Amino acid sequence: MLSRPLTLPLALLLAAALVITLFPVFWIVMTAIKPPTDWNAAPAVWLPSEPTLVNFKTLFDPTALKAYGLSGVSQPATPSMLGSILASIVATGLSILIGLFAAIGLSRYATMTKATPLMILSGRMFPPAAIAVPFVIIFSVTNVIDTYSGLIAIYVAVTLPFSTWMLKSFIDDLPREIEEAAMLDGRSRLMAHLTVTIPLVKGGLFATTMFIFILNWSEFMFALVLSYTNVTTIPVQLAKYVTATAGTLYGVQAALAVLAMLPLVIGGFMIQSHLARGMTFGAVKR
Amino acid sequence: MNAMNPITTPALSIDGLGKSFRGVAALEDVSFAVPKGALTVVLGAAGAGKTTLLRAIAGLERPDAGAIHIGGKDMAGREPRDRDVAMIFDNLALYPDKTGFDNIANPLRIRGMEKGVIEAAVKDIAARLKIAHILGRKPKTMSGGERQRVALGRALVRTPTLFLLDEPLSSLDAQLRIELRAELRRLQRSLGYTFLMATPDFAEAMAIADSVIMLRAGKVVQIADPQTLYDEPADREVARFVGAPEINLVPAEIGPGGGVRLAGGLLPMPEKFMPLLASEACAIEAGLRPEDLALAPVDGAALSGVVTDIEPLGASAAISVEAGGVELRLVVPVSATASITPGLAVGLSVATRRMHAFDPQTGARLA
Amino acid sequence: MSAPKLSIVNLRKEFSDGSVAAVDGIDLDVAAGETVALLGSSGCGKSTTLNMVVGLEEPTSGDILIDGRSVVGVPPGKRNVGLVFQDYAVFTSMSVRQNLAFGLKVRGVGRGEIARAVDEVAELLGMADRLDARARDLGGSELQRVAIGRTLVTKPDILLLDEPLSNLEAAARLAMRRELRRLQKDAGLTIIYVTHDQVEALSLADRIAVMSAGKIKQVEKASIICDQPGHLFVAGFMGSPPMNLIRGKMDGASSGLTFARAGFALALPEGIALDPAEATGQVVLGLRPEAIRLAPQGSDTLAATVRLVEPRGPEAVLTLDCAGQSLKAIVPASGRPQEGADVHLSIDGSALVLFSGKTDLRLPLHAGEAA
Repeated sequence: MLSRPLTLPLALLLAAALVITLFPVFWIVMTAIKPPTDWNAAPAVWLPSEPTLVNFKTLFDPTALKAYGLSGVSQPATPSMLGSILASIVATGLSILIGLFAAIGLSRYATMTKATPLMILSGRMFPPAAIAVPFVIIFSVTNVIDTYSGLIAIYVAVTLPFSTWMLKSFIDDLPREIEEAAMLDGRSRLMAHLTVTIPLVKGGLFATTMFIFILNWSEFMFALVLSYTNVTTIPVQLAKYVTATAGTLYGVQAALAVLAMLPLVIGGFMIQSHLARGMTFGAVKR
Repeated sequence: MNAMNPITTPALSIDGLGKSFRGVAALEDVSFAVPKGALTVVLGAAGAGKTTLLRAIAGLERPDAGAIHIGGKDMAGREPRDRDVAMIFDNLALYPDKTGFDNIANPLRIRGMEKGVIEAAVKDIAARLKIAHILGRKPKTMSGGERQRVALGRALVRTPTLFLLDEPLSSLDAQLRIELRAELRRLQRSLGYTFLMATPDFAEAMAIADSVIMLRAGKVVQIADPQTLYDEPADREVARFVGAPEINLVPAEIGPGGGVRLAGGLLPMPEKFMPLLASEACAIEAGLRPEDLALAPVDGAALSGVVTDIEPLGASAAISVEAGGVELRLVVPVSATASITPGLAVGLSVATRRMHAFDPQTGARLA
Repeated sequence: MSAPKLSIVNLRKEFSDGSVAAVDGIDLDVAAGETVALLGSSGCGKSTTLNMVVGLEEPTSGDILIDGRSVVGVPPGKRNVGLVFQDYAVFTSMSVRQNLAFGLKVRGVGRGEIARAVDEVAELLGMADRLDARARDLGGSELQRVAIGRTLVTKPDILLLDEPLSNLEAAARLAMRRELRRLQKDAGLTIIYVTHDQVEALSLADRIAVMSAGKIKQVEKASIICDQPGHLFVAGFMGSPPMNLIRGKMDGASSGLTFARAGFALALPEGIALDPAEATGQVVLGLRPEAIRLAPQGSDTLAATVRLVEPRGPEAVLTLDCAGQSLKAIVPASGRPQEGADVHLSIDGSALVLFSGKTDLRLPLHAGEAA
C-alpha cells in the first residue's frame, strides 16, 4: 500500500494532514445533528447531547424549529436545491460540450503559439469578486439578472478555460493518426472525431465533467449577486439562515451543507485518479 | 483533362505538388506517376518530405500548390474518405479499444456491408496474413509483427485504387523487417494492388520496389528502377545514399592526355568519360563504389596505400586504406582479412569501367 | 591469462509469475579492454542481462563479478559501470559541461577536480569546443558523445550501451564506430552493448554473443562468427541473407555421403566423412547463399524456379524453389534472372556445413579418411 516505510515523523505528518482536512467535515456533520441548544454552546460541544434530525426537517418544513421555541425561517430549502441542480447540470453540460469541441480544434487543427495557453486560461484569472459588480450592471441592463439563463451563462464562461484546457491535454495524448485512420476507413472528419476521438478520451472526459460540476455546484459569489428572488442556489440559501431572534441557525446550515456535500464526495471519489492528472493541465511536453 | 484510356491511366498522378509549413517548404514541385499494379517506393532521409507527401495524397494535408489525381480523378478539395485510398501509418494507429477482428472489419462496417460478408472478408485476409489466431485479441497484447499485420489487414480488406504505406516496417527488428518486406511484395503481386511506400532504408527500397522516387529536401531528385538508381545515380548525394558501405567520393582530375589522376595514382580513363576530355585538365569528383575496388600486389598496382581499419560485415569486411591523402574503403571476403592488419601496405586495383564522375560544385553526375 | 573484467555466472532472471525465464542461465566472460555485443531479437533477454549488469534489475540466481568481486546487490551507483541509454537521456536544459559534470557533482567531488575531469573527457571525445553549448541545440551524434562522456567522467570500469548506433544516420554511424574503437584503445575501456541488428554487432564488437530465449547460443569472434557458426540458431540468424538451413537425413552409401530430403538430394564432395555416430539420423544442412550459383544445365546441377528477385546494388538475392525447398542465393546484378524463370544451380560443396538434428550443434566434417 505505502510506497515507503511509515516512519514516526511521516505518521505524525499524515495524522496532522488528516485532522486538518477532515475536521471541518466532522464538525459540520456533528453540527447538523445537534439540537439548537448545542449550536452556540461555550465551551464548544463536540458530540451532540441529543442527536436530532430537526435541522433536516427545518430545511423542508420551516416551522419545525417551533418545537424549540424558535421562529425558524421563511421558506423551505427545496427551491434552492432544485436551482443548484438545474444550474450546475446545465452549465456543466454546456461547458463540457463547448470545451470538447474547442479542445479538438485546438489539439488537432490549431497551431499553438506561446500565447495560446495564456489566451485560453486568462478567462479564469479574474477573481470573481472583481468582476461580479460589472456583471451585475451588464445583466441588469440586458434584463437577464435574476434568471437561470444568466447564471448558467456566467458559469459556462468561467469554467470554459478549465474544461477546454483539461480536455485538450487528454486529446493531445491520443495520436492523431487514429482519427485519420478512421477518416481513411470512410468516416467524415466530424464522425471520425465523434466515433473515435471522443470515446477514446472517455476517462478524461468523465474526470473533467466531475471537476467542472464541483466548481459550479459550490459557486457562491456570482450566484449571490446575480440572484434576487427567482433564482436561488444552495450556497445562497445557506447564507439566508440568519434570523433576528435566534441569530445564525448553524444547525440548519450544517444540515443543508451535509446534503450539498453528498454529490461532491461521491464525485470526488470517482475521479480521484484523474484529479492529479488534470491538475497539471498538459504541462508535460511530449 | 482529356479522356483517359482506362488501361493506362496511372493509379496516381502528382503534378507540381508543393506544401509549406510556417514558411519552410516541405514539398516543392513534386511530380511523378504510379502505374496500376506497381510497387513504388518513395526513398529519402528523415525530414525529406516523405510523410508530408503521403499525407497530402491521403487528404490529411492540403497542398499549397499542384494537383493530385487518383485513378484519373482530381482530388482537389476531397476529404480522405472520398479518395479511395488506404493508408498504413508508421505508428500503425490501430484502434486500441477494438479487437484485431474489429480493427480489420471497421472500414467495411462503416460502409454498411452485411455482417456475413464482412466476416468472410476479414477471415480471408487474416488467413492470408497468417493472423487468424490473434483476431480476438486487442493490440496491447500483440507483438510488433502481429500489429503490423493487423494494420495491413485493415488496409487490404478494402480494394482501393491506391495503398499508402508510411515506413510500415520501421518499428520492427532487423530480421523481421527483412521477412515482412518480402511478404509485402508477395501480397502486392498476388493481389495486383498499387502500393506507394515511404522508407528511409535504401536496402528496403531496392529489394522490393518496381520504381524508386528519390526525395531530398522536398524535391524529387531521381525516379528510376532500383538497379538503375544504383548504377546510374543522378548526383553524388544519391550515390552516397544508395549503397553500403558508402561510395568513395574523391577529388580527381581528368588529364588532357586521357588518364584519371586520383588518390596519388593514375588510372586509365574509362570509355564513358570520353565526353569530358578537353584540352585542359578537368577537375571532377570521382565516385568509386567499395565493391569496385580490390586488393592487389603493391608492385604495379594503380593505387597504393596503408590499411587503417578493418570492419567485419559478416561474409565480407570493409577495409579502409589511406592512399594519396584520401581514405578509400573497399569490400573483401572476410576470409581475406586473416592476413590484413592495420599499417599494412597494400595496392588497390580499380574497376574503372564502373567509376562515376560528378561535378565538384553541383554534385550532378557527369558520366 | 589474466582474470576477466566481467564474469557472468549462471545468471537467471525469472518473473514473479514464474512462467518463462527472461534470462535462463547465462555464462559469459569479458576480458579487460574487450568489446562484446549481445545480439538477439526482441525478447531474447539481452536487455534484461544488461540491466542486471548495471544494477537496475536484480537476478533471481547466479552471479555477476566485476574484477573478481560480486556486485549482486550493490546499487548501480556503486558498481562503477556506466550506461548509455538508447535515446541518450541527455539533460536538455543543461549545457554540455553541466551534463558531463553531473555524475561527479552527485558524488560530491570537488569543483577543481570536476573541471579537470570534464576537460579531459571533452578532449577525448573531441567536444572541447562545444562545452558551453546548450544540450538541446546538439545533433544526434553529438548528443551521443555527451551521453558517453557523462559516463566516462566517472571513470567506469565497464561501459554499457543500449543499441548505440540505431538512432544515427549512416555517416554518423561510421564516425561513431571509429570513435568507440578509438576510445576502447586509448582509454582501455571494456565495452558491452546490446543490439538486435547484426550489422551493428559485427562492426563494433571483438566478440559477439548471440542470444535467443534467454540463453547464449554461441560466443565467437566477430570476424569468424558468420563463417563458422557453431550453433544452428546462429547460422540462421547471422548473415545477409542467413545460411539456408535444410532438415534431412544423411545417407551413407559406399560412394560417399548424400544428404537427402523429400525430393531434394545433394551429394557431399568426395573425401568428406562424418563421425560414424552422426552418419545416420537427422541432420540440418547449411548452405551459404554465396555458395549457390547459376549454371547451365549439367549433370550436377539442380533445377529450380525463381520466386523472388531482390536487387542489392552490385548483386541480387534470389529466392528459389528447388524441389519444394526454398533456397536463397546471391548472384551478380548483371545477368540476373526474372521472377518465374527456370534456372539451374550448381552448389559449391566445399562450403557446406552440417548441424546435428538433435543438439543443434555443428558437426565437424573430417576431410580425407574414407568411412
